[in-house]
Amino acid sequence: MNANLTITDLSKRYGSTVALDGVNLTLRPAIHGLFGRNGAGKSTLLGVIANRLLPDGGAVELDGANVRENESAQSRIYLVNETLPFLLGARISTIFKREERYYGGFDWPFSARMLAAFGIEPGRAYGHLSLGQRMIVRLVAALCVPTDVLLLDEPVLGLDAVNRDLFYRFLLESYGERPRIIVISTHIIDEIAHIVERAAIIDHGRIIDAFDAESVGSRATVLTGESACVGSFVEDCGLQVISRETMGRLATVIVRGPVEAADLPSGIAASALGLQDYVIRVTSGAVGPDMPDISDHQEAGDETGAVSSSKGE
Amino acid sequence: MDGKVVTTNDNVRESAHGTANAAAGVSEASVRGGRGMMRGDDFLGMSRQCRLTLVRNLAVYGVVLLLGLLLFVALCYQRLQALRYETGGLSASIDAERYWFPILLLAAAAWQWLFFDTAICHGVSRRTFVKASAIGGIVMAIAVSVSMVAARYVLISSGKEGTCFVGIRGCFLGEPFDLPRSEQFLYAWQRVSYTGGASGSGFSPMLVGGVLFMFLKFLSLMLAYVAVGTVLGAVLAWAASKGTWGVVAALFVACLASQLLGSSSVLWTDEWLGRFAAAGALGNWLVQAASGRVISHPSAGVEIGTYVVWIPVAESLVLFALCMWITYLMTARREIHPARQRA
Amino acid sequence: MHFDDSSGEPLFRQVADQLNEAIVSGLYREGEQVPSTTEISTTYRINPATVLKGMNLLVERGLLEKRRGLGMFVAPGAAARARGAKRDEFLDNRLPQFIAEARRLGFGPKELTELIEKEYAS
Repeated sequence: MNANLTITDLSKRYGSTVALDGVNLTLRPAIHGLFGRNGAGKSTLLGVIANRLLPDGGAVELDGANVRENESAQSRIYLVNETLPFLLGARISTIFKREERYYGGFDWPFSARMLAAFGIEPGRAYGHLSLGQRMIVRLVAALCVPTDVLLLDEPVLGLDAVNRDLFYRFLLESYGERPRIIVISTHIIDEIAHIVERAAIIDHGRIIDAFDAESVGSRATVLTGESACVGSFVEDCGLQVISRETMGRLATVIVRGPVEAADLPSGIAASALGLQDYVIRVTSGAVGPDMPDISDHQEAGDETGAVSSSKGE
Repeated sequence: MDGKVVTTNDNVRESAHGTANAAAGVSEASVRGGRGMMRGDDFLGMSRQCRLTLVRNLAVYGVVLLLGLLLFVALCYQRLQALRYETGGLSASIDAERYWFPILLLAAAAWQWLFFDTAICHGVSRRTFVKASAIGGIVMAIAVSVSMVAARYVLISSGKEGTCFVGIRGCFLGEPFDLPRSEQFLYAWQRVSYTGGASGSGFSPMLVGGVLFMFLKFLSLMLAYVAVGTVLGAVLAWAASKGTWGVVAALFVACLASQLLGSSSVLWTDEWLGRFAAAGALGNWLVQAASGRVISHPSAGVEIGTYVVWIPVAESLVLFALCMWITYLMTARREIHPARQRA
Repeated sequence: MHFDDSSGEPLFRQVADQLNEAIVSGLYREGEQVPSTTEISTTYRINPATVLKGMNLLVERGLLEKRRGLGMFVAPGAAARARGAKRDEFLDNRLPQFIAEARRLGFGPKELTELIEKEYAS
């Protein structure tokens, strides 16, 4: 599986609102997490890739071919979000058959197994299902079509904890059997932190960070200690501050990049952030010149955790 | 997964192959073929999406056509029963051209407005969607034309001297339905006015190939309906994207327009009424010519009318092309937003 | 197996440690196939790439071997090697840490030896 999805300088605006502001991202076969606040542009980005929304500038290319209005590319891309292109009266099996026709295949045994695990009878009418069950049916279909790109926009919204867990299981199983490009956009970051291989954070229409999920610990460091002490350390090392909190004389400063334990003066403790915390920290500030636009680097740069644009900012 | 059988009761999947493959970095392209998935998708040079959309379009139009025909047959039967039991004072027979107008209009509009989302969400391009509408629309227009003209021709040719209704339009059966504007292309006519206000008229015998002319005129009407309906659907969709009020407004306008076009106004009036009175007036001549009637006045009080079918055919084709082009322009920018509100 | 986010250990290393433990304890014997990446991935909700990375770590240490077309197997002599590595780790790290801590708390070597022997007896 060598599919490659490249997003170059993608931009889109709705009237005066900028939804996407020059997004650059490269996706290879892996499970990718797309994180960001409401309105950051996640749904818009996924919608553009799936040819449902039309960009104002830039391009999305699958294996070198622009996907816009391109049917052979779009037959390899599948998006699940809240849009319901299904007739409510149809039976689940009818819906699956339609997907099979449009996408050239369907993993029926797998779908049967999943529906059984979720407790949904395949003969039921889609319209008789609860909202959560409808989402499950759509996710089951998504995992069973032989597409090379799978886009899931808030897939677990409305699912209870047990169903979410089951879904992650089946997602990993499907990916293990057939590695492909999977992009999951979700707000429930903690649950998905171990499941995604790559993480991309989008804020105000731009990708502000993209990295290997397991190296999130080196994206930022939390420094705690006496306020002035921490302040001078940060300044001396030229560290870039993401956020700062003070409680009396105790300051907690979050800086970009890793900090070697050996470099720490006594009195300052350092710890790493988990994925959800990092996303929260990095997207809760206002956008501005101190937020670098990070073009996605595939291998080298990210392993060391060094931020590519630290030179200019 | 070569040689791996997966059943619904299989709880433990033998994924050794997959693991080894993944571990060895081998491409999993072969996996796709292993589950009986169809990958060949070019049919007559059309992509899978193209073929499926066209089939879907024809199916939708086919259903509408079928229902329309069934209702039409029922109406004809009802009319024949009414003729049997009542004499005189009956309204005009069923105008088939007017009957199909709302059906084709609404079918084309409904497809354009309501079936777009499903298509685009399954990888169909906007270009293909409009192309399918055009092809399906033409097929639908031809299907209606063939069935209606064939049926009408049977009625006409079974009318004999003494059993038919002789009138201004010639001798033919007027019941249970007719194609008033198309049938005129079967004949040419002459009207002479005598002194004292009296007038007499004469008709040529049925022209050779008259049926073809009738068919072409009817087809041009059907194509025009499909064309207008398609644009209407695109406009409705655009209005709907502006919010609920847009839909309400658009539907209101659509009803109004349909009423106007359907009522006794410019398009439907028996133009021959006004024609004689305003003989020679340019405006009148244009209206006549637009529907294919070319009237000449060789001498005072004498009118010769010939029906030139290529005029309405050309007009319809131009209208169809124009409407399809406008629809494409509108559809090319049509988007599907997620159901949640966008930021 | 249990995976902990807050321990600070990279996840792939935790995977490697858990498998290591299983080999040491004899749960997976030499020549036996260990669960596939997909199995571990789906059971513990971890990305397969991470699992693979952990397994590769053990391959490097000579505890696991890849058999092409079949999967991952416990290498011959793995149990002994793993146990040996653990002993080394104990002697290089845990023991010095233990002694340093004891020293910090004021235990002398003789006192410590007595306490150790008492602990062994119970």
